[in-house]
Amino acid sequence: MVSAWVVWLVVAPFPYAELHVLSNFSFLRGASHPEELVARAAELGYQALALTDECSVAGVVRAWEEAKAQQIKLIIGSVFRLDDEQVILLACNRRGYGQLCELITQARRRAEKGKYQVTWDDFAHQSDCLLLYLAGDDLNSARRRMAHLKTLFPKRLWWMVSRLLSGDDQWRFQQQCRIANQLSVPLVCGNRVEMHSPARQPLHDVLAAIREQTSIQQAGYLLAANGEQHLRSFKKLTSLYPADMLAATVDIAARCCFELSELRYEYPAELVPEGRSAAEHLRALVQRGQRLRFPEGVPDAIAQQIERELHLIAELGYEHYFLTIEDIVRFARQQGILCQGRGSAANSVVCYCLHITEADPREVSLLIERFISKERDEPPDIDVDFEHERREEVIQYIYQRYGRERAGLAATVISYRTKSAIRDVGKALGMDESYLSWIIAQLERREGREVWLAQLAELGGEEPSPLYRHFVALVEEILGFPRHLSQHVGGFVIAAQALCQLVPIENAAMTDRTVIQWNKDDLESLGLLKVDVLALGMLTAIRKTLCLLAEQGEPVTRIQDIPRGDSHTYDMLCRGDSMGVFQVESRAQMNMLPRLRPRSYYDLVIEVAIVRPGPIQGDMVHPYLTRRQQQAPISYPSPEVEQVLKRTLGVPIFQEQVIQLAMVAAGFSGGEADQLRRAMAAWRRSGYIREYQQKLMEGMQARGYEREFAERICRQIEGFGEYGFPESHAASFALLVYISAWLKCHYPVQFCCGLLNSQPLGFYSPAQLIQDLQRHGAEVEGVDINLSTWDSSVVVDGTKRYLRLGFRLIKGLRYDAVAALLSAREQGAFRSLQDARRRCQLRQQDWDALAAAGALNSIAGHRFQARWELLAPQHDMALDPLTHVAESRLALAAPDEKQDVEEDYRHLGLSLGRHPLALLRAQGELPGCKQAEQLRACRHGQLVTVAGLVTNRQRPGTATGVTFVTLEDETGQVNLVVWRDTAKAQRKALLTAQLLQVSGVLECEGDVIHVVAGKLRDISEQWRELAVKSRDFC
Amino acid sequence: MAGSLWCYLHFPLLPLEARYTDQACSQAAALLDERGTHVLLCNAAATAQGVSAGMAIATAYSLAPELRCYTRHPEQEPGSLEAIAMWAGRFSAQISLYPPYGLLLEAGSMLHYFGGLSPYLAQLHSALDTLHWSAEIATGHTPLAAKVLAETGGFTAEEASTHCTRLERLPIRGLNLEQKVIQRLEGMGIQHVKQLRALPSDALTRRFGKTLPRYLAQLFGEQPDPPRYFTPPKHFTRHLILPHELEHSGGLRFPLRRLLAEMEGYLRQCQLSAQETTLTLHLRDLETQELQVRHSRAELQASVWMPLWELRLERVRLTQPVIEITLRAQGLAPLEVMTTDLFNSATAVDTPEHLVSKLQTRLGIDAVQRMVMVADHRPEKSYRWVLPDSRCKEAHLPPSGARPHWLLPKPAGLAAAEITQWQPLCGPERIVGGWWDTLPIRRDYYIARSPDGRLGWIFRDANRQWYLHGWFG
Repeated sequence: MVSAWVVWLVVAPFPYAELHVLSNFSFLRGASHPEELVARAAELGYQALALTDECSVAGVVRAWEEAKAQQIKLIIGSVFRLDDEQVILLACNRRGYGQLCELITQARRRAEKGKYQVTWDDFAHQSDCLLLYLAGDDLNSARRRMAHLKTLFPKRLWWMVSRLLSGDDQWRFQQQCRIANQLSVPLVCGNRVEMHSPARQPLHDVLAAIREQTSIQQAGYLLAANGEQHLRSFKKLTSLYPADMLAATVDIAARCCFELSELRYEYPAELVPEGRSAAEHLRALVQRGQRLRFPEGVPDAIAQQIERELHLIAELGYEHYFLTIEDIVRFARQQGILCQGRGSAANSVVCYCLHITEADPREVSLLIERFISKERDEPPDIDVDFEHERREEVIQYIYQRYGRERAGLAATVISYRTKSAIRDVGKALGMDESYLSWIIAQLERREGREVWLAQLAELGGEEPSPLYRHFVALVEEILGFPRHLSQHVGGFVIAAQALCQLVPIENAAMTDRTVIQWNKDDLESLGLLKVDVLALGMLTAIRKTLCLLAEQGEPVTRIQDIPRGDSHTYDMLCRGDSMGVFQVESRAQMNMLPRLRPRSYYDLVIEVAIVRPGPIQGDMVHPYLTRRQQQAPISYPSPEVEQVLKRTLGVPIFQEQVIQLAMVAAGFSGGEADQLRRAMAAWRRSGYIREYQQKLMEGMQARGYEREFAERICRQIEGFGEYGFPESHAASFALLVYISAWLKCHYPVQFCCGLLNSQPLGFYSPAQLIQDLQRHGAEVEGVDINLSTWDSSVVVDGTKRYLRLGFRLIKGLRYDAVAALLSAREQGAFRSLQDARRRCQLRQQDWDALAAAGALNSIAGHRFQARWELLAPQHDMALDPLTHVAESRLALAAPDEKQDVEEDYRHLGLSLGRHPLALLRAQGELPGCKQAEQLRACRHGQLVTVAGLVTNRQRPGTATGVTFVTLEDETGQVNLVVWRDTAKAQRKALLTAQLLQVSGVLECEGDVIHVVAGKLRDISEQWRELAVKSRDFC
Repeated sequence: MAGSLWCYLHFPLLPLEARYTDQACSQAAALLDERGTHVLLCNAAATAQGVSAGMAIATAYSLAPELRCYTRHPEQEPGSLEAIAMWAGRFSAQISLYPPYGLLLEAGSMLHYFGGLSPYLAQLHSALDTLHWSAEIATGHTPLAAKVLAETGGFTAEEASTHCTRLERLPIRGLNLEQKVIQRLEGMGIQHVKQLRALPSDALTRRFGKTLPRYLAQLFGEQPDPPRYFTPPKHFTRHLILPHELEHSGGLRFPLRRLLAEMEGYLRQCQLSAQETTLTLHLRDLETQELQVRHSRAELQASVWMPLWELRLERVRLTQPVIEITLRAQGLAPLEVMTTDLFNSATAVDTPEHLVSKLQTRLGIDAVQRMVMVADHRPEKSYRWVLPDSRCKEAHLPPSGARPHWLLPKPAGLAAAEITQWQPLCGPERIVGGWWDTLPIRRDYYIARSPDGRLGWIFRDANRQWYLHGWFG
């Protein structure tokens, strides 16, 4: 046996660091998550690992979190490609890290989104970075390059060689060693790692095919020849590289001492006046606010609470955070922009005093300690919602206050989801596009990952082809892989110095917009200052309503003026009469209101939180309701649990309660509980939650809790993972629920007007909002060229208030045109169409839009006539009055009622005339159909037939297989429940009908009524031309 | 122009039906837009299940889970219409194309050959059925009337007045007017052609320009509207993109039958016959494969060519799936004249092509082959045999590593005792890949000196077995 075959040595671990590692944040190149790479390196016994994604540090925070858990050293670096040569920079210290970020920023800003551009001249100023050079094909040019770099990176330069077992591997390796020795440049080895294990080779090949827009069958040499770009074992390393090269990796690692945790406390300093500490300044601001909020003096309990909060804030070092938010909110207040904070830190007396929240601590006993806890080490979290139409002003203020180089928007990592995963993997495996569309259409994607993955596997038949098996496995593997960075909706990061020294900045898809390379979770993990500036339509609507009230001299003009605890408002909510009210207007919420019967602010907090995947999947809704209605006794398994669950009658509703339960009932430590919270938030992307569920089950059973209860908690945790909704957010939202409900209750016309002028928002179309208003007895007048303004308006007529629709509702009519029209109207009302056209030059399509919407009826008679006249060239009329006279004799027939209604819907989206269903009924087209209103008089279990416009179809993920359909007739809404089998058998009618007639069984529980559909009949034919839009959420 | 009669054929599903491969017309099928997200057209079976044009593909699938979808090839559509025009040669000497979906036939002068309108239409219908094109047929006293009536569901009559009455009852949506004009008219309450005709012509002109009144006049025959007739091309070449890749030559029968029928129509109209038909198969790798069928006498009937082609297709071995086909008719000659002697042209020079064709004649077509390189890391898959006349792109050599000139047809196992005699010189080169097909490999290759001093290419597989795979020169 020849000696060369003998490699059967047992290799002991030795110090080694892998310095060239790409994760899947080098998009479509790396085939492993950063955390997988770190975990595998630790498992192999490496001393350190450098994450060197291509011109990016987007994955480092995830790697760092894992490295902390695995206790392995993480080095931050990045690799840059210059044709076929590559350069790796590793950060030695904080300064080196800043230099790296700056270089990445430069390179990224020069190129379009997702690309970068570097030149050799860029590598000169990184005095605190180490440079590793990887040669391309031309070794002579490598020789010249090294001679040049040696002078720029003295004692900080290595030639990195790799052996990936390609054909010319050995030869190249030897050549490179020879040249490096001649130049006396030290050598180091690295393995161009792109996956944590060789088992990822199929995925690695698929990613290459996706990147090159081909299929693996066609990709040929675009694929790697083997799977050697993984983290290798010690045995392999020693067999391939000489000892000094292996040792060099550790020497290099030892020189890289930068830790991401060093970034932690870099807060902007300018908010604190000189000579004062941040704590003193915060206290001063709170005291100033106290005098405004409590003019009659601060109650003792509240004063103590303030002290406790300030103490906690000081202890955790959060002063700058509160000061920053206060500054932004103060700006908004000065500009008259409504805003409202929410989140763990927002529900505090301090925030009330700083005007960050309107939640009055006298009314609500929300304890900040409930939300922020020392032991859990959570960073503070305040999201601030602003009026959606004016958020841009706030964003501009932040840029102006801190400078564009210090403030930036956080990234959102766009990852592979069901559809994109199936499409991209399928195409890479050479599957037909229409086949992939078919597959996607077969899956119930809303049912959660496990369900649709199982369905996907089933679609391959009983004995799927090997390729299909690969397909299913690869789709599962690629889920959650990042694809690109996009802009977060409003997450700002504000740095103490230049932001690009903290994190690289790159171009976003929108011109002149940039994003940083980290997302919200990354910033949170690092404890960096992050402010969420969000947009909320309801705040716009509330402000517009309050402005209307102020104009009309009503006593209520500010949020503070609204009396709390108003029983009329709660009565209205208990009836489920909540269309237009914030958060509780959806069908599910409307059904919940009469059951939960909220009578206080805290009831609203629960109301907002209970119709969510968490409580629903945990089967917590029914137990809560029965206890609330005193049909079931309230009991607690232990006094500790009682403390956690008392406010929700022993039933866990909120995410915070589940986390606290994990601590008191399953023995989680504070740190573990915090990890559980993060795992919940990251559940979709990682699936880590399972181990916590296991731990929770074991912990709870060991402490004597029932298995069934523990299981429900586990399911609830999954639900929170789908859509987390913590109490701290519900508490802030509940306030807006109350305010909007109060406005609807006492000033329905003004509130509806505010909603119409803030579209699009909420769950319902303007048509539905207006019908609701009419059903409440208010009058509504149509759009009129002589009477309307851009916005809808409230007309005061003695004690009467009625709504006048505004031009903004007309489809296709531009704001500019209306402005021109209004300015021409200042000289007096238009007397005729000619008069209007003479005085006001609008484009033809604007006139058309006005005519179509019926806005010209008052001066032209009717739509048909208006259009006929508008089509005659205008100069004709001016020059040749005779022609006009001759033409005026041609009077077209006026539209009938049906035509008018159709036109209204088509061009205005709503009609003030009779409802189409009323017309159909009057014509005897709907024999035996009950009206929505008549259903109240029917008994439970009665067979009924109803008909209506389909305004909504919904198949929520929380209700397996059920489709909810809302029908609208002239008297209101009918809620249909369509079971899966009914839906399947009558697919066509269910999915395509605009007008539906349904026979079914009436079910009523209290005030909640719905019809369980049996026979569906598409009666759209009876009204073919009607173009009312159904909002599909299927 | 009293007495003139036109016949219009409207093919509403032409782009979709041009994509069928088999006769599964009874199955729900739809044509998708180029992005593959929305339905452009769908057949009757799909409509019955609720699918309609403009619908999102997801909705369509939820209504009709078995829906077959095809993607659109706009470049192919004019060809399909011309082909039908050639086929229609037997029903009229004067044919006009109305792209994208229609054909106009001058019928008035044809009726007496067919014995009247009813027999004429009956024959037209039955001929269309064999081609599997859905068609609406209408007559008209003007070309436009025939077109409008065909597009609105079909109508046949002989009298001009009957046509006029029918036209006046149509909704204006049925007219070939710009969408914008129709919307405007409807916006003024004008729903039917009769209402439109009642409006004063000068008032219409002022509002809509001259085109609208002129269109109406031509529609009703008050103004002349001579059609432009279609002239058949000099040669018959038809290209067809297949809806699915075909792996077996048998699947070519249905599309070929249609192409031959079109060829027959063309030849008839031009009074020609063909001696040879050539079918070019476009393969997935951008290669092509050419097949020929000759007929000793020149021939034009599809019913004669089809059996010959069926025989020919049985003998074809496809090296790659077929994605497109082209049919050409060659050796065209006037119908009466017999062809000249095939073998009298004396070109004696033996070009390589001649040599190949001679060898093929003696040894059989498949016996002469050429090797081409394929981009694949796996040695077994890095080359392929193709027919000598196929055109295809050649891959480069693998990016790294020496390859032996002589690769064994199959790796030969080396016994454990044997391998110790070999002396490794270079390696290992690791090749791992092919997990997606039937030849996944995982091998370490070495260049090694054999016991008798030759340079061999040997490898060890995942089971630690040794093999000899080739020899270096």
